[in-house]
Amino acid sequence: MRTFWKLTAISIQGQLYYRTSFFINLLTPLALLGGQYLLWAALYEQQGGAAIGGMERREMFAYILFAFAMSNLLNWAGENRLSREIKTGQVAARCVRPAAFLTQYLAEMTGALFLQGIVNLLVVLAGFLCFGRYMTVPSVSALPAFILCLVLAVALRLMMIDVFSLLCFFTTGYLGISWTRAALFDFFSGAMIPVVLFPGWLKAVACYTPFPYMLQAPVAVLLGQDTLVGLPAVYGLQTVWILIFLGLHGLIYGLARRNLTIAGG
Amino acid sequence: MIRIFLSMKAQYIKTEMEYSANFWMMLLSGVLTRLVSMAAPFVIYSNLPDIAGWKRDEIYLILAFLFIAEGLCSVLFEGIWQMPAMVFDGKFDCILSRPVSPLFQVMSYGMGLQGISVFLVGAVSLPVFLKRLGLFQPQGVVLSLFFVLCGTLLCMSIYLMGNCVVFWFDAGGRTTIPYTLSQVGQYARYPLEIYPDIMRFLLLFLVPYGFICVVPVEILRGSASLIWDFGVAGISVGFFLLARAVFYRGIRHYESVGM
Repeated sequence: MRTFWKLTAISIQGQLYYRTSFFINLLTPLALLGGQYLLWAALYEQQGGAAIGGMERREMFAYILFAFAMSNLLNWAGENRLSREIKTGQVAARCVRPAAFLTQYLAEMTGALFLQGIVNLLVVLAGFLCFGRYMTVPSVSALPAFILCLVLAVALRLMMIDVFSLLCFFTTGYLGISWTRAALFDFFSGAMIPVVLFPGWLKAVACYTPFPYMLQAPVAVLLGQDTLVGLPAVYGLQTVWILIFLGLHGLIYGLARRNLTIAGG
Repeated sequence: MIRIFLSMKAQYIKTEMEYSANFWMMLLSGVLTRLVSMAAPFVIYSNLPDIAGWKRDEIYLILAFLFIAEGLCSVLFEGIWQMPAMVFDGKFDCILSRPVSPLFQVMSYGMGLQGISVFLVGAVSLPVFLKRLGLFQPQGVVLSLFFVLCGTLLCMSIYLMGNCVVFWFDAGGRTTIPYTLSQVGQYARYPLEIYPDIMRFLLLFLVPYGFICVVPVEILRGSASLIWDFGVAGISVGFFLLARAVFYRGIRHYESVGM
């Protein structure tokens, strides 16, 4: 565990190296959050305040805030760090360090999302302080269930990004893979539109993917909304998907290592 | 110059096609990301009868204009997105040392393969939705081509201005500002009248995605006068000149490797 925290601390230091850029990058997604509110406020206004797809305006506004906080836990550069290293060959350094490849990756990502997580938490708190009367306030009793769901959701997302990144060993580029992953995540996780608004058949398709359990499920648990499959099943599916991605990690990394040639040795 | 530009693009596509897995993955990602973008209005319209009186096909027409502009920009001017890395790695010094316009070199650098499929999704959607809306007539087609041209110029200008921030502050070769600016475009996928005045102003005059896709559709469906054609052309040319000025201003601020 000491290695893990040491690597996490190094990752945080790395994040803070370009300070201006770091703070700007933390705050620029807020512009998109504002846009989301304006769009949904306009749609509810057009409906005369009536519920859309069973979601009241207060529920939607709270959902948007939490969904933003969760989907922006990692920025584009952070998510693609491993992919870039594979493309440039810098990944060789990871392979020779005296720590497991997955440990190094998880420690780095933890460092990256730690700082962004603090900022996002502050954004959520500020959002509720300023506009709380327009939103459904989560119940304190939902917190324990939410925290467990959140931890599993973050672990699942990190494993999914890891597996998609490892595919770059076989493609020589990473943008196509990253865009595909980001598009699937944004839509099926509910980051763009809550999954409960999907038509029945699309909702069923979403439930067979790991994406809703990375975002929609924890937010729904916190706000007391429909989790689509029930809370115990959410935990179970999150765990199963994490195990599947762990298995895929082992398989893909094993294949990549067998074929990996590092210049000079 | 155009011949050099096109032959450089031809070389890039030949190089990229050597790596077939990556080539097809990029094309697939272009299609997939745009299908997902089209799925968002699909979901909204499955819960609402219309958005401010706009039909679903009209929203898809907006998306078609946006996809074509984004796709063409990616294929033709991908180098703009490489600027932050060029400045950080010192490759921008090479650009400045060659006896050709730096802007031309930046624009002709690289090629976004996914842009090919993004463009194709837009190019297929445009006639389909023009036809479904009864706008597939000579006037509608000519106007659409004009809007595609202006939209591409405008889209390129927005990308260029966004990426020019690299000249003013260090970001380790990466900054989310250009990406955020490009993401603002997702709010121009819906009719602008649903937004408050400040958002309309933003989407029309600060990050003018509205002129790439919404205003053209308003003109085609007749809810905006044909005079707005001049507005679209004026904003496109004006923004290009502004972006060009910002770029050259940025070069004056550039301090070579190690900034």
